[in-house]
Amino acid sequence: MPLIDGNFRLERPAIEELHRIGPIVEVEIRIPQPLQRRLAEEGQSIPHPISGIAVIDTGASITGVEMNVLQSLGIQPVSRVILHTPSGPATTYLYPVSLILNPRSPNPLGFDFGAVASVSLGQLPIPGGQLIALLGRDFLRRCVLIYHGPQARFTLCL
Amino acid sequence: MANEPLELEYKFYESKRAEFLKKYSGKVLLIRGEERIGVFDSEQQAYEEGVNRFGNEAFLVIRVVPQEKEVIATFPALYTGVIYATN
Repeated sequence: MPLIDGNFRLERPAIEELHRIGPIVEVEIRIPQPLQRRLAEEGQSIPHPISGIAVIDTGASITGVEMNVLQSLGIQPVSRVILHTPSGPATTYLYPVSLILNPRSPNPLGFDFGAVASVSLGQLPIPGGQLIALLGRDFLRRCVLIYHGPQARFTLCL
Repeated sequence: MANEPLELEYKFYESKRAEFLKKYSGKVLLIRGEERIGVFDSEQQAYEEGVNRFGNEAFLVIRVVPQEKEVIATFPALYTGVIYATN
């Protein structure tokens, strides 16, 4: 059952790319809507959205966004979370953001994330742009993700 | 003076955790400094109230749960440094 838009589909038929990189989507990271409204009411400038590429990462329990992106947007953290790492537990901060999928399409889809983890993704060259986010299972809980290996395609339904 | 973001708020929360668990278990608290500002059903509600009151300043939004039930995040690909491998 579609949750948001039954006609929405993201499909990337690039044969080798899907196998090599995994399912990727264009994303735009914005400050959360309540903060946009507040800044607008105060006549302050609203930071420009930052565009890039997100990998759908079924191994990630929550969504992570590149820390430089969050710093550029000037958002304040609202909480923190414990990370399990090979070298032991670590802490990172959680930030509220608005995340837009397929921002250049006629029907971009927006999500208000209560909290994404600040992560360091480095300068990973992903075809089509810079990797700025890992979409984790907190995102996937809203979706149906079909990964069709033999046809080298994936479909994301909302 | 707190050095890390939300350090003061977390110290306050930890000092009151037992009390908060008795009163507000499962609810979401909005905390600023050493003051509980409000109690909400969702993080979104708490965040909106925080923005209304404090704009883009730091405040803590936290769901009241026992320590053993706090969220732990995992990013296996990130930890191993392998988002994707090429030959």
